[in-house]
Amino acid sequence: MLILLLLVWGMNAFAADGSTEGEIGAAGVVTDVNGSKAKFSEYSDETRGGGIYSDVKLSYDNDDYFLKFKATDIGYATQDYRLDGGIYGKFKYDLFYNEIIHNITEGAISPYSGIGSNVLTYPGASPSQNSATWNGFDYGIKRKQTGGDFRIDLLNPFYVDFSAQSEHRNGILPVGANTGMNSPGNFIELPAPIEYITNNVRGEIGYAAKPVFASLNIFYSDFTNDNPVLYYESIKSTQTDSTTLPPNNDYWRFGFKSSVQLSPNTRVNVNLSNARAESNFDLLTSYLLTGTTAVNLQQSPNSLSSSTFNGRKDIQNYSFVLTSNPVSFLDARVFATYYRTKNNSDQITAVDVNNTTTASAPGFLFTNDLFDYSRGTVGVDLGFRLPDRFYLDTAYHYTDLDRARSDIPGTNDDVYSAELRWSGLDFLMPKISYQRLQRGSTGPTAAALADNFGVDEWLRTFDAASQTADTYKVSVDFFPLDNLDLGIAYKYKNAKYPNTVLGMLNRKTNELDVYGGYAIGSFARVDAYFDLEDTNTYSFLRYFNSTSKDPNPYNPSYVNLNGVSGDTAYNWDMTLKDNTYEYGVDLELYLIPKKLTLKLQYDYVNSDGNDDLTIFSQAALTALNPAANNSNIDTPDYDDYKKSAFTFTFIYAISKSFIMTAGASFEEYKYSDVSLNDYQYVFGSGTSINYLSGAYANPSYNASVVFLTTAYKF
Amino acid sequence: MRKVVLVLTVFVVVSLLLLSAAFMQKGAEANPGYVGVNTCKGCHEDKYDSYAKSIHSKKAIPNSPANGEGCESCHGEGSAHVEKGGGRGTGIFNFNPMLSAKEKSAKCLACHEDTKYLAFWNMSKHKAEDVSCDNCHSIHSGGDKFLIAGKSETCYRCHKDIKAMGNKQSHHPIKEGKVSCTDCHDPHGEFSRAMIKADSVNELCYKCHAEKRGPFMWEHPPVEENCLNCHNPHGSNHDRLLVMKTPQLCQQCHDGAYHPGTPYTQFQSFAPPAKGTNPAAQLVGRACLNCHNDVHGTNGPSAYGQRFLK
Repeated sequence: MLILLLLVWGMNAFAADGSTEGEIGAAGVVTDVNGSKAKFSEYSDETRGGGIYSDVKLSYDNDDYFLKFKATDIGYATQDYRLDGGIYGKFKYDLFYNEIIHNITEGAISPYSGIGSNVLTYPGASPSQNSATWNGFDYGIKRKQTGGDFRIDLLNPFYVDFSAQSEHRNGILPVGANTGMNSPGNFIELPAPIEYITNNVRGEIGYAAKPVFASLNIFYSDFTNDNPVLYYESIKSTQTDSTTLPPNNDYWRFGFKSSVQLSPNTRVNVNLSNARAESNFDLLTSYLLTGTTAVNLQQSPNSLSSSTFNGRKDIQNYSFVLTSNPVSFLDARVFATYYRTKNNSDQITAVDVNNTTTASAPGFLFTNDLFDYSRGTVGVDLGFRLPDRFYLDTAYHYTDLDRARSDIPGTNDDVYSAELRWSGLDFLMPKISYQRLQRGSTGPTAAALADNFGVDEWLRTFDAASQTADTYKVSVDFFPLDNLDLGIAYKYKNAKYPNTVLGMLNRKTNELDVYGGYAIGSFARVDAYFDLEDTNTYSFLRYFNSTSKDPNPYNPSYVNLNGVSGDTAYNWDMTLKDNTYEYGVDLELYLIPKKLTLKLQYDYVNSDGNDDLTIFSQAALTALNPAANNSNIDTPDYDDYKKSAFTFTFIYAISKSFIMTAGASFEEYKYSDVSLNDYQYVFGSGTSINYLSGAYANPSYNASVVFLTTAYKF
Repeated sequence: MRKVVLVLTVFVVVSLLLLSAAFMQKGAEANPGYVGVNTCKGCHEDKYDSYAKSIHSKKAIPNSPANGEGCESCHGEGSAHVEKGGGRGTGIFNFNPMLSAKEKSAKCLACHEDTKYLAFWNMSKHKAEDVSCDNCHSIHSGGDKFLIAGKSETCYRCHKDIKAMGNKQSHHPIKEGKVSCTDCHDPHGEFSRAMIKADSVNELCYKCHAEKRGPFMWEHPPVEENCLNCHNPHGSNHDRLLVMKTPQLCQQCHDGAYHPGTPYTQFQSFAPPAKGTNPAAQLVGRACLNCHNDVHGTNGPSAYGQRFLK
């Protein structure tokens, strides 16, 4: 109704003097794909083998009113419609409908029926191991977003801004379902239904007139999942097992923002907010143990303190920033930020005597930890305008973070940085910078040391462990001629974890970018780029089990401690290498200037990864496989891929209003990875049969696309 | 604690010094000598036409150039330029590279700083890096929102490394036109690091990925603290934007008894040399996620929930 009103209002405006413009386009596309259609058209709707895609743009504008309408990919799963309009100086609105598709895997299979629903069953006493008989489906997600924004400027300098969006998300994504705690257990990859609705509403009132800007804002988000639980027939029996899916939740945030100009070159900025996230979920009061035995958590000797979980997190954020240019050669920024989450969720306690790792125990107590954290950061940035157009930027930031975690309950960061750049010549802009992160951490606590056989005495998680990181950057942009621009940028980062004995010890990254563009008179233009990224991560780890109970990496590796079979502990390490380079060339040839143009574009991406493993125990190598040694256990296929795309396009301007393009593109994607190569849908033996459904498998493809487009402007 | 007190003390002292310096500054003065838009149009018809079609020419907007001096609202009085017979930058202000970013941006900020979009430009990382308005916007030749190139293409003119990440096999649909840099970042200035449009990374991600918001009964602390511990939103070689493949990503933190601390070799894959004779569920398919599906948090029962199995 609102859209009709706005369109009619707009049509009335046509009566006044104004300009109308528009464009109508249509593109006929024929696609031939060998291999994974889903990966080729990951975010597009080309799985039909082509089609006719049409776009429309209409705009009307006069001295008082404007109206714009834009539609793209009409009728396809990537369609987008936007209507913008308003009266200048009074109000404006923006309405939209947008679809986003994400194709993941086409032709996945499962022994289950009911795919797309939250109840999955299979015929017979156990899932068929003959994958040829399974049911086919696709993994992927579709988002449909409807929304708008409305802003009132009538009361300038006061304003009101309101926006709302509703998104419906549906599709199927893979979830894994395991039958038991014993390693490895066995599992099945299930198609889980996605039926989500997310509603976001935002409102803001503000005042903007020198020297003050201030606004109050509120944001509310509501998430609903039609299927909070997935029920599936167990692979170990015909009983119904279950697994939880994301719960409904909502979130609101109140905020105040302000920027006050104290003088022409000094401002104080404030951002204060208070937010709350809540969820509620009816807990599963029973489950299948090892896929066969029903366990009722509300039946003695088990117990459950509550059958409902109410989650609640309160979040506060306070930020103060003072910026100043007190003297001509100095830019200063001083800031302080405090961010805190407080977990006020229910703590649920369950007594479950059926935990299979301690089956002989009289009872097993499970209570969820409430994780929250607080982070305070202060810092000063000083920029010095030096003689001869040099500029030196220096900064120091300090962060103190406390978290409710027993292994690393606190970290503090000192970050020092400096950047020097020069703009003495209008055709040359070099820049060099350095940053040093010095992170200290506390822990582990006694509680952490009592867990997992005490491995936390040596194990540090990389996200919070003590760390030193040095980052160097250098770049030069060079514009020797009006029609020539070149650039090169290099970055090197070396992160070390000095207090870590088990875990990530070192991570090094090299990045190089080279780019340029050259206009060859009025005849042609060429743009090219090259990017290289090389990452090397080293981690040192230890294998041990509940018999050896020996996580101490300083103890030697040994096998059969005390003559007990399978009682092993040994050290091992992994060096992960990820090398990616990509390059591309874009050439435009103006065969007949302003009439006929030929565009040629080539892009290539090559990623080569490797997991270089070393096991410091010959016995362990032999137990793995008699032929195994430290040279042949590595995984050289580590998300390796090569992607190339070549496109040529002829653009013919029949007239100023009518343009036709015709062309073709050829694309190839070759992928290889140790986890997905020679894919098997069923593996294992005896009572440990595992089932996969093909998620992310076989993504390689080669494709040809031929297209013809027409566009008429008026 | 002592260090915190010392740092806070330094912060307060520096703030007071800057505030006191602030009150000793003076403002700018106005200049006469305008020639009017029709004079400008006489030589620069194409530039005038682009101005006339733009929002800057709307008298209905209070304080627009149309209600001021037209072209000269931005370029300054043109009498000297006309008297000298014209010429690029002769006797008039133009947005050329030899001028400082501060001088060029000041022209735009004179009107636009009084808006919510630019109120925080003063603390923007772009301002600190001497990026001026005309590096991204062109009133006379720009497209939507006067951007020099498309929404994300404008950013890629400088952020080449981010563009390269967007070409990797796992990426947000930025080059497909469904997500843009400004969906997450505010290039005009924000309080948070990297100028993201939220108070924290997680709160930003939850706007589109609300199913990850929880709160959950069983939480995964590094997930709750920062999505970037495991994901690279700009692009990755690994599925689901992970910074590393599984199981290796999980094993950076989880080195416990049995399978968390087990090295997974190609002998445990489907492929040669073992050809699937002893595949490990922790390596093939989705690796750890084959069983530990709910790593973002779960409300599952007892041990199954605690270990993210249900």
